[in-house]
Amino acid sequence: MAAPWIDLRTLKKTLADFFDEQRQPITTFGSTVNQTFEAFVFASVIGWYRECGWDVVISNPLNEVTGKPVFKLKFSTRGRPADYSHATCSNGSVVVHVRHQLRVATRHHRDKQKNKANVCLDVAVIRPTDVSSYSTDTAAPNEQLISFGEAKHMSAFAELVAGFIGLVHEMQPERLKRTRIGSWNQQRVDHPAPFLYVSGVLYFTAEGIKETILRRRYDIDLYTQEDRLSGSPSLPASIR
Amino acid sequence: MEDDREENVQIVIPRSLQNRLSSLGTYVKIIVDEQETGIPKKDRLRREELQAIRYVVLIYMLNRIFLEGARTAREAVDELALHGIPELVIGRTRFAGRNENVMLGDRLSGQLKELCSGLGLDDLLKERYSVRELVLRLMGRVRDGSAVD
Repeated sequence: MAAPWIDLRTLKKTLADFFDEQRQPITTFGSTVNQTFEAFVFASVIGWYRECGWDVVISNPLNEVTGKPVFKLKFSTRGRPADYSHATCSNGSVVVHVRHQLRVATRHHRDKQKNKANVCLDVAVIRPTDVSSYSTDTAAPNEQLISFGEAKHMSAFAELVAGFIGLVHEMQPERLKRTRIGSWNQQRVDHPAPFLYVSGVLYFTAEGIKETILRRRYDIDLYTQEDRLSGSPSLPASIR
Repeated sequence: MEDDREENVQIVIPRSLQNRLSSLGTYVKIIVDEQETGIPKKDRLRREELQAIRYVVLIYMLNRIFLEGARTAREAVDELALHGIPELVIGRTRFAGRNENVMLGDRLSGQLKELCSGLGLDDLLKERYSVRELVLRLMGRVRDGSAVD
């Protein structure tokens, strides 16, 4: 029996019809939307530097067939970083590289250890680093890492945010100290802080973790479709 | 049967969208349960009422995903264009300017809204709600029996 405020049968048929009629476009949309979101987050980071007055130049690998430069993001954890595009952002003498899916060693990795400890970061902001000799498994040294961002095409629940905090603990544990205190909000920010960017919303379980992040004054940010990265040079981030 | 039908509807959603939607039904149930704590069973939402809320939330979130997908595609190509990159290619799909692929999310949103126009969801789809706000609003509509809008 249908609820009086809306006809359940019609509602379900409408949804079923929509999925049937739009199956191919939805498949196309669904098969690219994750990567589009990653590209958007990469673009948002270079947009952040541009809006802060930095010069941004994108370097591209050469197409094997045409020999011409081609813009190519690294939508996989595999692949030599030199085979993909990256951005060089410069502000006077300060230069950073923004790379997509770059493998970076964790803070506690040691070269002599048996298994390598590294993570592919969705967006990595690093000090200028020559990666031309890097293989798919080579990790940039952790000391080269300035900041990073994770892009998730989903809404956030507590476990996702907690997982991101764990990643920050591995990559830049100093961010998890009581950093954002006193006049922090008035300070000029040189680089985006490590961030988790979800395409959806924060479920209330994630909001709970966010509250504790704020209380602990962690130097990290959470962005959602409502709280966005690019568009504000002063980064009035959602959790500040 | 109702659950089977719900499963059938979800099965045709592409996997990448399922990531965004798979836990939605559970989340709606958690919010409803939270709101109904201490309420006598006879006064709680009926099964089909809860299902209707889940479907409306699903439609709402689908619409949001389409619109956000289009927005992120537009903003990605616009930012890249500022740096001399004319297009973004993902697999065999080319995103450039306002081409069909860039605008696909907007088009799907339009189709969804058109199909739903007879359900009285038009105004609801124009607003921005958190899932919790939406569920509370819909629970209110169920209780007073009025139209969604």
